[in-house]
Amino acid sequence: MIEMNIICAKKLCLYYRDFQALKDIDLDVPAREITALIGPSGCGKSTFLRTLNRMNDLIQGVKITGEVTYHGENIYAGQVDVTALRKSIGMVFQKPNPFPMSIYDNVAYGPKLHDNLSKAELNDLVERSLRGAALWDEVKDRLKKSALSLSGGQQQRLCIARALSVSPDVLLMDEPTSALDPASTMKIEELMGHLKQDYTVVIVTHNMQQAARISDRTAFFLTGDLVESGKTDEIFSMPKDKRTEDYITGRFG
Amino acid sequence: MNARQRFDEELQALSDSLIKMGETARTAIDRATTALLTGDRTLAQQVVDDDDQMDEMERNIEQTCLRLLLKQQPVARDLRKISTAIKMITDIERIGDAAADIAEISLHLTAPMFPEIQADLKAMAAATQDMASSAIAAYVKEDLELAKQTQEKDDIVDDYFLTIRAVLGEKIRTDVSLMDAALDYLMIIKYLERVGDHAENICEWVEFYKTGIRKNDRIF
Repeated sequence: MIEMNIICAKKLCLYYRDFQALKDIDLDVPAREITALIGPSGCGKSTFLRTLNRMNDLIQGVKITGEVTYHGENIYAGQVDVTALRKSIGMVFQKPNPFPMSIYDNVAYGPKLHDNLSKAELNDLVERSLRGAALWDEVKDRLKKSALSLSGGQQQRLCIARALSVSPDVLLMDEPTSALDPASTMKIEELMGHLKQDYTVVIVTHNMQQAARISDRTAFFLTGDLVESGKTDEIFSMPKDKRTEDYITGRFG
Repeated sequence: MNARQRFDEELQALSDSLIKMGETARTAIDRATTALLTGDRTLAQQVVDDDDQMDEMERNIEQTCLRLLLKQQPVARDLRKISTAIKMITDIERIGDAAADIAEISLHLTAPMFPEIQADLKAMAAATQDMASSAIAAYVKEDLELAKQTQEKDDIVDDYFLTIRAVLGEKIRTDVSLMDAALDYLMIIKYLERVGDHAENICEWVEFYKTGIRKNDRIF
């Protein structure tokens, strides 16, 4: 049976000490689709993204109520292995953050930690991951060079390859192209189109046209509330809520 | 003034030009039918001459829309407004063309109007004018109800078309020498019938602008 919604947030609230950053969020993330989270700065979209693989656990004073289920299991239940969770639900950040090591080692780092692979298997995995991130052809002759020698766009695709190397099923992306030039942005967007054949992608973006171009579904956040979510084509052509309309047409935010 | 306010001003200007073009088309069809029914050749000639204006308005609005699409990459209501304008100007321009064609024929009519069709043709012209005028008004007022009512009136225009066509067919059958005149009037009622269709299209675009739905389908 095909699982429709791989991740479901139910009555999810998040507090940074006294400040409530997320208010009763109910949102389903369908499998093998791209879901875009949009909204003005401080609306809670990145906070929400980080709740999906428990990245907020690292922040002091955070309290979470409600639940997030992944394949039907509440990821905030006591017995969850957070490392395994983050392996399945990988993350790519706004600023490319390759490790200060070779291109090869950046991709091999995760699999070396998690799995006991032969040299040949590891080589194969590195190649597959780099191909998956549409970077292989550009770096195959200099795998031992420092990752920091790559351009910003290549570094970001390397980070995507790194996330792919541990065989995730969901990729969370926090403004993955906001630090990139238009050509690199286009490459990443094209890549995302391919990635959704095998992975579920949730992306935070400030670029409205990007959300309209690449995502299947869009969720609009405002001051911690999920105002509206639905098919991207509908949100961008005929939003139901006036606040969504005002935001996407540039009347505020 | 911020970028959004400037965009709003451009959208308002777009609406104003569209309203002006709609008014011009409505006036053209009013004058063409009046000229036809009263035999006013000067008025008919004026309608023919004014058609160039309409074509120029269409080109200007088209340019404005394409420029706004390029520069603003509009979404939501803005996108619907601009795409509606692009589609509507074609229908408005065709109404203008139909008016010019009717005027052109009325300048060259070889026979006086057949008395049997006079009342129906007058009523058909009035119904068509009413549709064109209501369609433009529905756009101006963004009035979904008026748009729907106007669409329903197309059946009335179509009925007149069929009735008059039957009379003209009978004329030709009984006296072949009336062929040319009958064909002229057949063309005229066909143009009027087309005006009704274009008015109906305009109403469909008003509905799309307001609801995102056109002919019962979501476009996006």
